[in-house]
Amino acid sequence: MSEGFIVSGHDPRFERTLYAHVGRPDAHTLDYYLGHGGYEAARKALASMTPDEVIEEVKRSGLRGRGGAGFPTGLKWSFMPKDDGQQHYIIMNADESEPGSFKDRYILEDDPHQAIEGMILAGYAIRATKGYIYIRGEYRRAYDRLVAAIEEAYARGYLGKNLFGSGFDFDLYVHRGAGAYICGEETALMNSLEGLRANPRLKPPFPAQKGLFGKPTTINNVETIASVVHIVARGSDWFAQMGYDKSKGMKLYQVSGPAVRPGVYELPMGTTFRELIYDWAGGVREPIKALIPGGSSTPMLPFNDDTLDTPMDYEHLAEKGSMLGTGGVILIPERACVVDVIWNLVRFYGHESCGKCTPCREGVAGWLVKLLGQIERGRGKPGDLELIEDLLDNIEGKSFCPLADAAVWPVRGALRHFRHEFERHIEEGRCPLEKKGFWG
Amino acid sequence: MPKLRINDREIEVPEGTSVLDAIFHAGYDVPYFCSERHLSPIGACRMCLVKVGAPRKGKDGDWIRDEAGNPQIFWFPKLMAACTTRATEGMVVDTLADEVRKAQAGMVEFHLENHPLDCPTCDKGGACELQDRSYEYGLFEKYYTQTQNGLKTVLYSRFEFTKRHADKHHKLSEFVVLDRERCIHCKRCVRYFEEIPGEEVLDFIERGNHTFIGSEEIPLPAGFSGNITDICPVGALLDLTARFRARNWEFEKTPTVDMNDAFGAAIWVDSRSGRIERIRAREHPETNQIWISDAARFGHGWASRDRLTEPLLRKDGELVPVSLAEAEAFLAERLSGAKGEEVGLLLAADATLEEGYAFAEAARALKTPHFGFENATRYPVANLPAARYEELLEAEFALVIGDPAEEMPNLYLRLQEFLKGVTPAPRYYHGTPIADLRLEEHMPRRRERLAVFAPYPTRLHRFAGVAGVYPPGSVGALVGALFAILNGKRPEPVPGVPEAELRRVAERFLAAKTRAVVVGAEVLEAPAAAQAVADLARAKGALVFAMPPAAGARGLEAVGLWNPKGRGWEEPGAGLLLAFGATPPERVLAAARLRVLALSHLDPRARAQADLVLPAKTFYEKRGYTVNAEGRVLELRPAPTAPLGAMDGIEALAFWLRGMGRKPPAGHYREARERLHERHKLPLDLPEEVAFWRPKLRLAARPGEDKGELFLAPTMWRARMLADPRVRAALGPPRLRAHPETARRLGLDPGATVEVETGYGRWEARVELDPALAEGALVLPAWGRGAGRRVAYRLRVPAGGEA
Repeated sequence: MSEGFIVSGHDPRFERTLYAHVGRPDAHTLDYYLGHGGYEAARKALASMTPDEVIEEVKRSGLRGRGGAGFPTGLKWSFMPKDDGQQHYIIMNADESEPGSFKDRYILEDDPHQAIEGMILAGYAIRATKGYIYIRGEYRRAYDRLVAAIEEAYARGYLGKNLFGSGFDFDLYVHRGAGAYICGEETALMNSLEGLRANPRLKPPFPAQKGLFGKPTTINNVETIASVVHIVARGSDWFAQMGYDKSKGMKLYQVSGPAVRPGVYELPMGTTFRELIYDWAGGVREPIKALIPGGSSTPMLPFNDDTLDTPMDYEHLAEKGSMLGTGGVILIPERACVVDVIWNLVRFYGHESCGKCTPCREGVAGWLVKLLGQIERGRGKPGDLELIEDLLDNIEGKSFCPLADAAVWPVRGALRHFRHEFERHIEEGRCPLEKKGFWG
Repeated sequence: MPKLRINDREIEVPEGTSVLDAIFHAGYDVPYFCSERHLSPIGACRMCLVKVGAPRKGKDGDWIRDEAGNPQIFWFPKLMAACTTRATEGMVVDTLADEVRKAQAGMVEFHLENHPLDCPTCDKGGACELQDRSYEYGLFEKYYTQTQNGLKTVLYSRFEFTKRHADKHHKLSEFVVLDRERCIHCKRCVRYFEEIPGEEVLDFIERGNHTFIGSEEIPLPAGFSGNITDICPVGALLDLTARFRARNWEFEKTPTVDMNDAFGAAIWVDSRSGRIERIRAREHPETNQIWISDAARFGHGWASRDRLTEPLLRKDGELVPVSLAEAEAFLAERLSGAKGEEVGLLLAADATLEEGYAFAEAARALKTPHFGFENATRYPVANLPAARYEELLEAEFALVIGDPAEEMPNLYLRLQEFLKGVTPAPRYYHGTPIADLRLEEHMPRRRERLAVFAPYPTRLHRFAGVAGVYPPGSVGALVGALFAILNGKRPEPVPGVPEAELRRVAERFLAAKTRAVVVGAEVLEAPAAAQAVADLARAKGALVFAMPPAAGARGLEAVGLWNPKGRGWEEPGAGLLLAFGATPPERVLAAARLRVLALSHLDPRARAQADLVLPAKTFYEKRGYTVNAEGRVLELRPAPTAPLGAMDGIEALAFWLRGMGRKPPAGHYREARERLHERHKLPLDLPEEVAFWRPKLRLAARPGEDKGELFLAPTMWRARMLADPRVRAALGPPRLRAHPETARRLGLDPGATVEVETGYGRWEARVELDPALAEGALVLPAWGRGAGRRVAYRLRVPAGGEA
């Protein structure tokens, strides 16, 4: 177990870092953080590394964006213009709204200084002297603790002017969202930050050229930025020895649904579903039909040995026709109706559609919701499934931003693996399952 | 200049061209709803999805090549929205692929999903982009067919649920109505307001399937709101002046020129059964692009109501209808033995070149000193050099003295474009780019490039780096001080404007490589100031944009209707008076012993004072040419709405001169045009893009200075437009704006209604206090008469009113 890549939480070489202090009393205070090696990575980077070296280190580590899309972080940072004399911005996307995802919340609640340190490092690397944290409006406690942490950091000189005597200035601002899922999309988030309507913006120009307030901007997920702290502290080799070929490092996996111990688990990339669900989450409380591997927008997979032995990383899940997404695993019990589950999810995406582009506004928010509702309520007609599939073709890849795709994929996954349930609804003219679950 | 292939055609387009424009440039078609000329492309409607491929460069910097040695084409994994994709070297675009057709049909189906399809009762029916695109790209039988009763029929949509219901009749203003069910969320109107006039008025409210267009500002600010009815691709935003008046194919559509202001905006006059029902903007890329002002668009109601259809002769103190023969006999009797120098020949501000020429020639032949045109300024605008509107976009700094939003509304829109730093767009085979990738939403305005001064805060003030308000009457001092600084001299103080501000303006003016000076009526009324501007343009090389209050001023002055001796239109003196197109002031009429007015409408002054009234054509109904503020020769074409027997100025003049027993310079329009061309060699055979007539003139300015205290502020709305109750309701009573101190001194209470009488008419105005005005300032809208002048006034509290 001690040779090669670390792909299991049982591997003795694996050590928890991101969530090492979550749940500990007073972990959110600066004193606690400093007592556990806090701000050492930032001090080290600012004292002994150039911004380009930080970017190089992150590139070498193989860190990929943890918000769902999995874009290499170092590469993203290297797109930022160098020495152009403009104000640069770093934004932390803490608008964690994907159903099934709740990993960032506890970092911000219990270890906000980790996020702040990550922001300092990211800001230093991309030469941004101003950072914004766009936090989901419902995360009240996280917001309070974050604001308190930032105040503490300012008071003790960990934010503000001339950090660690390096001459680097960094200011951090927190902005609370107002409850729109679309604000998790990076350009819509920037519009929202600027006080505009949260519609996604045109790309190109990409944020690295023209982002917040028209200035070069980089935007990263909380987990991504927190990971940078440990990459800088422990080196890229330490990070790269976890996970498989193109999926490196540790990942926060979340389990929700009828597991014995649902929650967030920090494990090396490439851990299998079986290990996550049975070893760490303590097994299941009732028979399971399917699982959604990475937040509600990823296509569901049947709950069988083949799926359970799949390593949870970008490549292996893509092979299975799904995605890693945010790593939020949702277990769907036998007693739940798949049509109902999908209707619920599509209703969510329909409700959150911003209304800018036609396929999402009319296709997802209008038509798809109505068709699925019709089938679930037993009024489906023969041909409805073919119509849904045709609509999915007309929506997928044709919308302005990925929100419509996020609504299409779960339907596709359900139709691939559970088509018989849809057909049974149409044949019997009713939902064959009695409603008593959490989806009902 | 990237070369690319569209289906089977190789084309070359300028750098920065969108794939959408490249497709149209190549002669292919692609549907679109959200893109519109002069607006930013946003890629929202997803109609223009096409298959795009491009070659890639390898690590060695050369193209990756296929086996045959040609650059290998890598197709994008998804269909691309053509409007937001940049055309690049070697790109290959397929607009005809099956997957493209299916995507387009799918998008049409989505668009129709919640659209009410009430085309039979929709004013846009027949001219609707959604209709056209549905026929062309929807109804794709390969995908959407059904079998009904054994027959294969085509489906327009497979959507079988209840459509979304929303407000069908949401009045945005007196002029514009919104139907929220028909809206397809293309966002053109929202972007229009933010990007073109720079007023963020409309926006989407709610989200997802509930999204609708709404505003906090109801009614919409009048000024530039009407353009959204032109650009709305469906019948969601409609012109209320034309609501339910006709189907689109029933209109007679006449392309002509708006003569309400000197800009020369191209318009369509849509008429039916002899009535003007609607005015729309006509695309003219060099002048108004695709925009016109609300006054030009909605202010047409006067032209088709209460028209004079036959001559009216005063008998026993009453004007009674008579035959033309009787009118002729009357004139012959009254004009027999009349001396030429007694005759006064006056022409309205919206006269054509031909009319001006005929009047000028007749005045010369009669040797009369009494001739002129309405709203002639003291300084002849024809003396000032003229610049093309497009040249403004190339300037680095603009100094505005006046109120372009009201004096020449389209120039205001050009100034907005200038503020965004947009240069003229390239022209493609299909014309203006539909998706101009240089434009973006929320473009920053370069305020530092603009300085504005006016006697009251104008719409432009909030966009200007330096903005000043001086008391009316100080424009001469302002221009003098500014030019003293520019010439390195010590300036005299200007009330209301600190010297530091003027120095900043001068500094930026001198730092700019190309400069523009925009001057309004007030400057043209102050000959010394206007001469200083002319000298400055010559000495320092500045583009001059003068905004004369008379639409035809530049041309009328050039054809010889400039009268430096007296104010033809306003100075009494002529004993025998012929006025065409508008009624001269009361004192001019009172001084004459024969008053013949050729009018399209009878107004109270004509009813009280005219001896003979002849029916006349409005500018919508005339044939002829005009010269706009940039010296461009534009052609007016007649809408078929003139009553039988209505005369143009040439005919009215000939009628008069025949009464005098003289030969008219021209008997009818064609003759006048031939003579005009012989005399002045107008470039009438050139296309309008290049047809300029800018004779070098040194006309003498008229001396004199205004003495009054009431400033008549220029307005885009004309007094005659107020005949339309809809216009009256939209504009409300005229506002008499006063500085609070001034109001206190005069005993004016805010909100009180007072009667203001000036030499130009009598208005019931509402008093409004405006601390932004200079102390002593009193400002009243001019409604097109005497704009930019300071006049004496009398205030009265009307019976039953409160003061």
